Amino acid sequence: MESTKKNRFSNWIFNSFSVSAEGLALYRIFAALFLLLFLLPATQIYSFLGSLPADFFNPPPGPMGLFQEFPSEMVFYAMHYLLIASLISLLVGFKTKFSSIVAGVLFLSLKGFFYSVGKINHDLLIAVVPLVMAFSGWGKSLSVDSLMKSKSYTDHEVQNWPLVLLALMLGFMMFTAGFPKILGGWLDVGTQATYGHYFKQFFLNGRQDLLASHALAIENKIAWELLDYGTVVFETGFLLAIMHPKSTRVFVCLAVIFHFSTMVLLNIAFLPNFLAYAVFLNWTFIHQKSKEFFSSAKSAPVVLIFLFFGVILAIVFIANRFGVPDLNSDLRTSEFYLLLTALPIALYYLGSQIYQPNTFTS
Amino acid sequence: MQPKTIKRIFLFFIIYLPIQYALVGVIGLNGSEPWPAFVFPGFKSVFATEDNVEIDEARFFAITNNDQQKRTEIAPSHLFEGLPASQLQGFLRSNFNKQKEFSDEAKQWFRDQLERLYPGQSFSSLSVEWGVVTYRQEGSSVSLIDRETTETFTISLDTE
Repeated sequence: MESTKKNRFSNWIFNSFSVSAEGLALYRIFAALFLLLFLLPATQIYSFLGSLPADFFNPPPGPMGLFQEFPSEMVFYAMHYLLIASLISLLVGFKTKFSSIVAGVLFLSLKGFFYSVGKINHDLLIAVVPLVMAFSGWGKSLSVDSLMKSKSYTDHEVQNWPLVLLALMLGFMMFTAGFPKILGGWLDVGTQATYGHYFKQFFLNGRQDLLASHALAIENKIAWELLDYGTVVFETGFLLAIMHPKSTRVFVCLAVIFHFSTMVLLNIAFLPNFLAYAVFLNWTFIHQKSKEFFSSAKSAPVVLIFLFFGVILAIVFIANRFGVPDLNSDLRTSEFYLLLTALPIALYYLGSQIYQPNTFTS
Repeated sequence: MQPKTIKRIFLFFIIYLPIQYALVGVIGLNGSEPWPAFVFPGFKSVFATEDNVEIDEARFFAITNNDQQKRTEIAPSHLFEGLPASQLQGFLRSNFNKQKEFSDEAKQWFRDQLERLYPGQSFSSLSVEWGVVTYRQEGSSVSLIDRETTETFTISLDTE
């Protein structure tokens, strides 16, 4: 009995997700570009924080308590450029493990200072993903590191357990979003919590873009209550879903749909989570298919990733010029188009799990 | 890394994650949430009652330096321009939730911001009014039905 439990535990850790050196490398390139292009801190905040007197420095409990005040704008910029350097190093796969850890630590530090104004934005996954994936061997292919090594790497040298660890962290964090809602009364049919939050975002924070104004017309309390229940079930259920790779992927797809709905209704995108969701795409499959599609060219999968971001950037550039969609809240055009791109991928993935269960199960 | 070590890492996190969550809850009762912590926002509060929606609000007023003591309302997003909108409410709750004495450096910072917004005008103090605003929705229209001030704090801009 005891050994069965141990076997199950080992099986969960080591056999949940099948990875390849090329697949992980492709995700590394994707993650580095995603971080560089869309998740770097906006530099405008540096001059604001750098100008703030120590009176406003309210570090959250933790390592930020070692500091007495905000660093100067120059220090912020130095950290910012170091972060860019580490992400470029991650992109090309140079000293990959080291640059992953440096990027993770720099994100943690910069965000720690941002949140010392008294508000935490819960985007820890930006730092956690490179820190955990540093141990996956995601630099063992398509990288400067692999070119510098005399012997060729094999798939045996890459690790799949970091994906399970990320699933554990993600599932637990989702649970921490859902559990307080149960305590706070979200399941009370007499009140509609989603409606209250929607109302607050709409009127107090001016988040009135996309379909937000149309939601005002929804007077049916049952519809709002269903959103309350759906949110709680989805968020708390995530912790159970991580027990199996298939249910993990299904819940990741549901998470994308959830965030898309939140974006159109509340104009909140929560982009950092998508960095973690993307880990669970079957990158080995994507690598193989893209190679086949482009007549086995070795560089084809990498070109595909660059092409993907190139197209997104071009769309965002054109959309910004023409104001499509017309955004007046703090939702960015890039966030809108990234989530719009993620939605069909999630729906396709979800559909494939239902109709062709074996397509993405490895 | 040896499989045994990896298993120990997992065991550590399986034990650590709930413990840190409990700590976040305990610390959060008296202060702000720790960073870094493996938590997502709970959005626990339910703002909507049976008929209305109640929302906390902070209003800032700059008071002129003359006999008339004219009050000029300033949107917090203008006064603290540069701070992301997603952090504004938390920033206000952390820094202006009680009467406190600001340093001369901070007072100068406030004066600089007011000079940026109202060049040439002189202000003696800032008033921060916390309140609860109640809205009611009827169909697709929304009306403000009550605004109750719960607390008022004054920030003197005079330096020593």
